[in-house]
Amino acid sequence: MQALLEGYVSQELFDEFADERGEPRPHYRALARTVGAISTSDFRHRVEMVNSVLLQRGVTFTVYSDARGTERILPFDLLPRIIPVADWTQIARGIAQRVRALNAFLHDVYHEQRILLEGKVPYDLVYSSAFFNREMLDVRVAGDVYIHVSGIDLIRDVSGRYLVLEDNLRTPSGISYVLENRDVLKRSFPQLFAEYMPLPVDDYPIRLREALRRVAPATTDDPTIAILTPGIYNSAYFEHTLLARRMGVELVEGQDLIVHDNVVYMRTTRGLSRVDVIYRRVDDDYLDPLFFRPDSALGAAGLFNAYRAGNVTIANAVGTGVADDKAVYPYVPAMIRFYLSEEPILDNVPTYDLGDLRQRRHVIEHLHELVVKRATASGGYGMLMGPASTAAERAAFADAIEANPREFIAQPVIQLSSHPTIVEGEILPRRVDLRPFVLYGDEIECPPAALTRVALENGSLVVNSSQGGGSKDTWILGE
Amino acid sequence: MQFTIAHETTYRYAEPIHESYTICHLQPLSDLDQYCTRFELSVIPRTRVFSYADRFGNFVQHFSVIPEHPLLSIAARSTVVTARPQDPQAPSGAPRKALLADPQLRLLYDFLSPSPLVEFGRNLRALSDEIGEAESDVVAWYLCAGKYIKDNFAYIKRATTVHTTVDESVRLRAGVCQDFAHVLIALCRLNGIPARYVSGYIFSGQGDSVLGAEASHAWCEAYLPEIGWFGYDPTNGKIINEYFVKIAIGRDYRDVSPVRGVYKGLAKSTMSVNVAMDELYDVDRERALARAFAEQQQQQQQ
Repeated sequence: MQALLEGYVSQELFDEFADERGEPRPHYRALARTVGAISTSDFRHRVEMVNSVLLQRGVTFTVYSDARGTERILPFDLLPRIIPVADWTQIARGIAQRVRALNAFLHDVYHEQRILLEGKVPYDLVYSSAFFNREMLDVRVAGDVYIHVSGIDLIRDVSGRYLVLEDNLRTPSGISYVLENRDVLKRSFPQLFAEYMPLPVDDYPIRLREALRRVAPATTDDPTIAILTPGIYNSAYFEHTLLARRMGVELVEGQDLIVHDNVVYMRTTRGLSRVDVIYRRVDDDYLDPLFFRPDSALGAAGLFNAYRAGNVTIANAVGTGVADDKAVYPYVPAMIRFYLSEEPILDNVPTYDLGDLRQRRHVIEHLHELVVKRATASGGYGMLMGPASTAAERAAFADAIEANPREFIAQPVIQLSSHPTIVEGEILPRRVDLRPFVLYGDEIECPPAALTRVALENGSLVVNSSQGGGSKDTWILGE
Repeated sequence: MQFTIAHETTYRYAEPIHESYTICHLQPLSDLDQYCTRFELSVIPRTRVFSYADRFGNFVQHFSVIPEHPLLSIAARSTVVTARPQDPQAPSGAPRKALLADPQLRLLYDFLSPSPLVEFGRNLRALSDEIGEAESDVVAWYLCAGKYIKDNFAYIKRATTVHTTVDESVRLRAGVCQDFAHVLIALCRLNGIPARYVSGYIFSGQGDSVLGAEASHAWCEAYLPEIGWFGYDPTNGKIINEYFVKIAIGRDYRDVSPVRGVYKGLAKSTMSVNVAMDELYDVDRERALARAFAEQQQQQQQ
């Protein structure tokens, strides 16, 4: 294996593993030693073993466009990503600050709207967001907490600086990979694991459950929590079952819930049982046919009025999508200054305002060197990667942008950092991002549980699991 | 004026249905121009009725009925005092500049933009061109647009449904009060004048015949410079007067439909609606007037 690692050459990027001279960074030295000591055949054997374990355990992720069938394992890369304590301290402070400001923003736009009245965020931008949920205006939520679970996507630029690429404030997924990857890796490299002693991730489900208990309606001391899943056809169904099992809470579908007299119950074999907190993995539009999509059977009729009355907590709150609308994202630094009177700890990626005519012109003329994303899409769907695009694709995007500038944002292409990754038996640099998860019950906490996604194709900058990316175990080191 | 209103809605199902959830906008508003002194909602089958104030300030009632039921009947009874003039005059004009200078304008995004039932289509734009621009006098333009609908659109029941788009009723030049209200709202918004939907009642006993009195009625309110929200009924070509009672305001019909709901069961339903609006003979007021008259007579005799 020594040979493979010696041949590791990073490109003109920031590499997580190797420094400018190609030497392993201090926190990767033990990893380099261990990998170097394993024979190539032993290493391949471990890779095969891990993949078969994952398939057996059913760690799958549905890719909607994959013709080979809906179940596919998320490719797991055996080489862990290691984050030193100094980096993690800065990241945790930065994402906590961000979530605090975004939560304040949500409370504000659904109540006093101070930030809009003072002109710090344009009124029209919020009201034109597809995710601005007007039913939430003047609705009080337990503890004023909207963003109970979030996943903040971070990338590193060529200098190694962490930047926030996206805030995922609706129903971010991926924590099941964090938990499973750790289980598998712990067994594949027991000695290495013991040497590094990364901070544990296995208490995440319990921490999530405790956070949810703290936002239960005041009517009960011993709240019943349920996870609401859209069902087995959802891409993250595996995650929903895993979380329910490890949290020790019920997993329900819409048809299992019934609302009467503004109280939510679940049907059990012993009759109806009251539900106090719903950790929903169903989008806003499908929660209640009485208020949102009338044809939806994924939620429960009457749920929203029970929520409005304060008889049930829904996590995340309804309407959080207005804060992770990509066209609202450029204003997050302003939110941090406005609500917290602090400077942002983590910077945004520079983003063009396509509503502005001059910036729009510039973007349309430079599409070949920019990334264009749909403001309300996620999962890497509906985006244009300028440098890799065809003229026809660029022309189609230019037309779409002119027709509806509010629907798009544009950003310069950020060269994501690279990390040694196993590709067909070789170790090669591949681009990675980082999605740490943030919990918000009565306090904001950042468990040391983060997902590293890796773009498996050479040069690809798209790491989304729905776009064929893989994942790595992420070792966050303690003091 | 004082009115009592009985508004009954009954759904009958071919086979019993279950788990029905219903939301009602039936309680008249209380504002500067009217006061709702009494409101009762009774439901068959019996169930607990809950209420809340929505984001527009409307009072909303809602309830659920879980067991099987072949019928759902909702009876709203209200008493409302109205304080608008009997024959309101058109306010004096104001140019668009005055509207643009209004600091409230940017807060009215929802009443300036298309909403689910108020979209800006080709037919609407053509109609707007026909009526002309609102530059010099927003007030006169609004009243003229409303009158245009009254004069050029035919009131025909069943020409449209609750799902008919604005563009479709403009093409048909026909519809009912809901369609006419949507057309006027769309014209206003298209011309940069905030406009909202009002559901309510119109009293038929006011002398000349009015349209829309046998069920709930609907009209438009536009936000006019230096005046604020100002109601016009394009179905009857009238400025809103003391014979109108407001129930609720919203972006369009969908925000304020009097009764809507979902249920489980495959049975077809038939709905019947009955609205009875009566002028309330105010005994106390008449007695007071009689007493004052008698006292006056006595004083004259002394």
